[in-house]
Amino acid sequence: LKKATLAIAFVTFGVVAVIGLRAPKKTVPHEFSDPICQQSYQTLFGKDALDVRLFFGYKDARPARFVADRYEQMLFVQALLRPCRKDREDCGFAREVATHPKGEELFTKSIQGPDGRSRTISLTVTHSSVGPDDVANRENPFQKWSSQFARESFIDALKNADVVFYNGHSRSGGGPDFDPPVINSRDEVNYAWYRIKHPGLSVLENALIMSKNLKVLGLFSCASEQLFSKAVEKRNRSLQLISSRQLIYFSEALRDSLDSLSNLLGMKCPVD
Amino acid sequence: MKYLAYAWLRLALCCMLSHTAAHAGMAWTELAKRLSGESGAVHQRTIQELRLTPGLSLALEKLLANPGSSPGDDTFLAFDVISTLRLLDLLPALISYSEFDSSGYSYNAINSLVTPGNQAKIVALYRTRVLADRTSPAARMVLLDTLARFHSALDEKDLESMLHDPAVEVRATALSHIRTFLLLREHAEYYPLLQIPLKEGSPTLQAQARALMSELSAKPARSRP
Repeated sequence: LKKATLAIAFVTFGVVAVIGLRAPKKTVPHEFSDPICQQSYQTLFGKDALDVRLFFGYKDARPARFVADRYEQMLFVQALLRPCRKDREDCGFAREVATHPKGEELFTKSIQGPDGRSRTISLTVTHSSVGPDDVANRENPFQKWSSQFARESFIDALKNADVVFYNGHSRSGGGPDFDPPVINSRDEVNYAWYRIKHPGLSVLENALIMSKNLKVLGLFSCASEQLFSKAVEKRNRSLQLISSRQLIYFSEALRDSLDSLSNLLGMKCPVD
Repeated sequence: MKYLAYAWLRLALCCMLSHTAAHAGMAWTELAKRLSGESGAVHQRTIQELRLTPGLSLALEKLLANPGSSPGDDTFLAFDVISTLRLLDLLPALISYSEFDSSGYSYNAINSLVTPGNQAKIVALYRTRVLADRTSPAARMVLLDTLARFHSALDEKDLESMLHDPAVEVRATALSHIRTFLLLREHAEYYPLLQIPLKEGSPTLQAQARALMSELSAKPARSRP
């Protein structure tokens, strides 16, 4: 009798397990308080996967020699990997393995889209500097590679990703910037040069013309609203631009990047 | 209609970010924000104003008396103020705080307070902390970088373990640590470690290892700074 009972129990658990695995996930559409907001998120989550890419520009801290973007990226990654608290979506990601073509800078998670179906979020994080000392970085040949890699990845993201965030210096309108800054004879950032040349903004504008999927661009840098919004809107009027009206401290920019990611993935609307 | 819909979403996101503008801290926090991103003249004036701020050290010490918490904006600003004004009196409070600081930024503040008199003690502390299990990846990166700057080379076996760390960012920093000594033609026992990122690394880590190999073959030995 005992054996028979045990066998039945095994079968029962087996069936339960199979049902649990095979039963389709219940699809509950997200409830939106506003139809226009709903339409925005339906467009953003139009495909099965959402390609999100975040870039940390070269974050020097003149007059100090300190460069912080590697550390800031690590703080961001630590947040992505932590378990989720209530109402947060900037969390619960898993890191990809080293053999993945996009490497371990790729993080993924599944969420339910506006229609209740599952969506895969692919989030790539890229930084610019190779070390915490600006003087040493300028002497390190790998810095050139790292800056170029970040810039080319940024251009590719603007052309092909759905959401792109830049967290870095505005360089008085010459950013986004992935290189050690151009400095003047007083060893200060040569803002006059950046205001004339606009190297980063030119890259941004040219890539935006060729963007195929980009729906949200976040520029978490000082006064990005005044410095970049007109140029961005001129190139892509349907683009959502998240910008800042003032100088922002690094921890505010970091938190705003995480909050924006959480709000986007959580499909938040103004009255939520 | 599509444009209108996006405009709505944009409004939503901007509203949710409004807390940044509403940041209301003590006067010293507003001053501290001017320590970065401003001109040299503003920077110098801010230092003078901070020095004249009454009760500043007490306010900073109070913030640091809460170990175990993740730093908020005010704590990060406190680190900046301590570094810029070189408030050596706060070194013990910083050291206590840093043990549980998952951001690692308190170590950057400690670094600015290193003197010939306390360097050996701080380096010894860092050598212990960099290997501690509870040290966060971000803190481990700062410690690895700092030990390299102080020319305190880690044991080959410890570095080998860090080249297998789950966080690629820590592995990249361990490789930078190795680079410092190999370029000085010191610690030749590190050479075999370069095979680890070359064989097992992410594309970016492999690129970093290849760059180092080429640097080592092309450059003459550097002298210590």
